[in-house]
Amino acid sequence: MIGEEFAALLAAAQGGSEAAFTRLWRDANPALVRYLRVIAPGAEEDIAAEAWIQVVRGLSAFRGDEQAWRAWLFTSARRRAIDLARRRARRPEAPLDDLTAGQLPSARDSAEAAIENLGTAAAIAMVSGLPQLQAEVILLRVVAGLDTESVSRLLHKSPGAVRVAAHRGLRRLAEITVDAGVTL
Amino acid sequence: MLSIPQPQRQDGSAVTDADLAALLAGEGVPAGLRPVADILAALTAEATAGELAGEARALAEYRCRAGAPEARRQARLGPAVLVPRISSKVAAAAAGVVVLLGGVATAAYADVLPAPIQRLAHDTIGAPYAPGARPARPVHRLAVPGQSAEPGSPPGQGHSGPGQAPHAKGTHARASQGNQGSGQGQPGQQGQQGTGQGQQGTGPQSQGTGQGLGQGNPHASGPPGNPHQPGQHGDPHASVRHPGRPAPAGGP
Repeated sequence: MIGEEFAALLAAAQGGSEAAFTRLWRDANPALVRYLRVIAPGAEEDIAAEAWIQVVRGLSAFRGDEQAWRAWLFTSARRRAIDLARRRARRPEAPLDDLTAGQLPSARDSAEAAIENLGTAAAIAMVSGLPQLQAEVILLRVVAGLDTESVSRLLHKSPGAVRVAAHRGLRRLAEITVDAGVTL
Repeated sequence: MLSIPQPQRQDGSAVTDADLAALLAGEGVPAGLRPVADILAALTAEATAGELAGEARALAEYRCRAGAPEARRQARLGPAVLVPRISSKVAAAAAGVVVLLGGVATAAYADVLPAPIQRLAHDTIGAPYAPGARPARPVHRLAVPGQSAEPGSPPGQGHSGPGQAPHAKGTHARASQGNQGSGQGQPGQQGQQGTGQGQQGTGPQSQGTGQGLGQGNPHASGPPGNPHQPGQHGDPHASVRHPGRPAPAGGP
């Protein structure tokens, strides 16, 4: 999060300052990619790029604080992820029986990955194991830095539902770490 | 009853909502949620190189769409493209003006413009202008040899003679002068001169009109008149119009 400088940076970016836009991009894009890595695995970079294109097109007309800015960016990315999921659902998939063992994805167990290295990738892998709504709520609250109200609007849920999903997700993460013996 | 102590399970079930809210808000880590706090910290760790790989692409899009106006213009159009675009617009406008003015001038010299515009062209570029040549002629009655233009008019007065044929080219100009009331000659003289110029004694205006129209008829009968008689043929500098064109006989 940028903080107090955000308003000045946004105004400069709207006025044509590439340095200001670069600062905004570097601040938000890593969080955006991590969020997309959970809700649209394998397409996070493309969707993030499309979301930024949308943001750039509407940049001059944007009005709001940093919460609104991030909510706009993540909402745009989420819509594209949903569109991608619909396209994938319509596209026929090759049956797994036709694939050899070497072609199958070798996904490590999330808890095992957490034990070995509790880095960012491992943490994302653990969150990915949560139910969809819980994972999204935790990522939007923690990674994107959005408050409960913004997340509820973004997900079209009530603030109470968002709080419940967040608490359930955190409890589930706690259970996973205990069961896996993660003690840091 | 034997009581077997159960091992306390640290699975998070003992975590309260207040603890979770504090964890999300970063206001402190409850004792049983330290691993979860580490996971959340890892989610917000420093960006990796892969997560910043799309910077060039986003910046290029920014330059094209939302950058400074000058930079945006430069990105969309090269500097060499701007000048030909402006020049082509100016050239097209100039060509349009030239074509328009040329067409108007041509039409003015062809004497096909409406009367007010034709008069303006006459005043400005010297285009021909004869207001009496194109007025409405409601009745086109060709003169028949041996008949007078007006019933009851004396022979030889309503039609011009053969001797006036060489001067028929000035008919419209003379008619114009007649309409303007300039008057040519004296009433009563034209019958004696044998020019057959309209009705006699009707005044200068009707005289002039009858004169002009009557002289244009090559088939008109009557004694030859004096082609050089002042007051009969009007302005010698009158423009050449429709030589030999049959004209309606008689005056108004």
